[in-house]
Amino acid sequence: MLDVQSLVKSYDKNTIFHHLSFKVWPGEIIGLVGENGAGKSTLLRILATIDKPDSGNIKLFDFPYETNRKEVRKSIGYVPQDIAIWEELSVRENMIFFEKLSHKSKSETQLRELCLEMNLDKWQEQAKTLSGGMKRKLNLAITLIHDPDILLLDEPTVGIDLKSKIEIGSYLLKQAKEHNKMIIYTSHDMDEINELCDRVMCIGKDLFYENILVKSGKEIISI
Amino acid sequence: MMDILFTRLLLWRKKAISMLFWLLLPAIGTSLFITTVTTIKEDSRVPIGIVIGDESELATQLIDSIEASKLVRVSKYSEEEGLYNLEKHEIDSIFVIHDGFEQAILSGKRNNLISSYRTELSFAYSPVKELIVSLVQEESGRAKATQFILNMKEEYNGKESWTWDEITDKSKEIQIDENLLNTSFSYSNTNEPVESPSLLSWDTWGVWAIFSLLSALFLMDWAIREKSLAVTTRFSFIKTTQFSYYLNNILCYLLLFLLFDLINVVVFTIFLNEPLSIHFIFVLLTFRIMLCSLTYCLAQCFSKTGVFYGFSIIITLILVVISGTFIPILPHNDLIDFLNPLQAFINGNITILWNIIGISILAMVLFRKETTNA
Repeated sequence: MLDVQSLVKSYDKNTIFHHLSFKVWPGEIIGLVGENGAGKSTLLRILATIDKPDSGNIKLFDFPYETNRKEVRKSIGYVPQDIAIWEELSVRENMIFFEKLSHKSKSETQLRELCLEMNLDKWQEQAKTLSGGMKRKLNLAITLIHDPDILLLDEPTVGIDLKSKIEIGSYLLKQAKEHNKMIIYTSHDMDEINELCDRVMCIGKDLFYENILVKSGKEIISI
Repeated sequence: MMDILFTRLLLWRKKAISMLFWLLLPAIGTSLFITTVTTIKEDSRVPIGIVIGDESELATQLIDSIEASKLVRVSKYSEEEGLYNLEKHEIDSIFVIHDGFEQAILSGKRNNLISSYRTELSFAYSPVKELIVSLVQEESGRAKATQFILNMKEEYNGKESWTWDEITDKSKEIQIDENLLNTSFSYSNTNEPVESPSLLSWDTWGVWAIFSLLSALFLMDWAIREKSLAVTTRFSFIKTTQFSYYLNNILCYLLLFLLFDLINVVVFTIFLNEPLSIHFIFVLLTFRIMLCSLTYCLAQCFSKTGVFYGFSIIITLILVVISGTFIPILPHNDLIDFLNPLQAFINGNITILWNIIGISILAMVLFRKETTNA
């Protein structure tokens, strides 16, 4: 379980989070919505241990972030908004590259299966020649190499075609429901949020997103 | 280390051609430079002809002395052959050593020992003539001195039995020892002369050092390119620390550089007759470690590769000037030598100071990377 307690984060005197608290249970998909600059990516970066909060406590499976950063990172899969792959390497080489640096070792067959599960079948193709959707799938597949317990995805489906979006969505749903993974992800696509997420967190002062969610009847995490 | 080496190999493979170019640049650049300079040196010698009319020992010694000069390239002809080549402007001038040259010298004659021919296009005639005249004077002076010593021995019934050759050899020996341009000085309380580096034997490696610096700088551009990539976010979640990841990557580069350095050593030893010793291997190793650490740290100061390339060229040109390896323009200056990271290597010494500086800065840079992402 991910337990966030009284998280505070400010940038240049602007408070982004003021004593933010919430919990995420295994098998849950949490959507993060809000206007640009509201702090969605900052929250994900803090949960991914890349950024530090001003105050507050975060625990992953009872391991406090503050004292167990190295251990906690083994359980985190973070997908940044920018596609974090080696453009000059092929899909296969990208997977092997990160497997070599991963906490868990996997065979080439297992790595290929991981890609195929997401319909990423262009194994030998150079990453820079892949379509936007395929690149997003590779971006996600690399994150899953070490089999993380929690997935933190920063707009994983932005700018891609509908088919790839649906494929990624159903894959995430499968990861949460069948493999009991916690997933927190940001998106501006409210249909996608409504369809995939168990609960939604609205970040920022603008009530636009919250109003939409209230109308759809989706459970909102109050912050 | 092996896993990181494997991942680095994956990236190297994608730009193998450009990497190979930069890795081979020091060897190829140095060989081309040295070969070109040697050829130019050879071509810039003035071609002259010598007609040997006297086969005596003194005449032969004079010809050897002329041939040893860096100013002229000597060809031996008969008088007709020489004149024919002079008319065709194949040679600048001809010098004829007349029969009885040795006799004339020994009898103290100083006129009409050598005749010369020149044309209106013999531009180098005057300096060559001066050179030969000075050599004749040197040889005749030596011969007269030798003759004088032998005469004294006979006159005063000297017990020493010196031959002509022994006296002339001793004379040459003294001439070399007393030559102020090459004298080895020593401190008053010691007998050992103060060693000064042999510039000639370090020319090749001095030029190589400059090319190596340029190649190391251009090969270290990965530190800038990869710094700005989104992919580096993933390095927070790998099995090693970022300190260890980057350090191992630098070690991979160091190993690659050392591999090519070894090839350079073999090439220079075989083809350019450069001397090889265990001490030199240490000199090379410390130089390479210093280059690796400093170039990586320098690359960390830049965010755009284009600016870094420009800076690399400028810094290389500055070091070319202050090192004096290509063209010794600046006078020797202790402070400049101290500030020049290549100087220790060019002087044939182990690089200590700049290694301490380089490794310390590297440790700080890597530690900062680690703490920023911890």
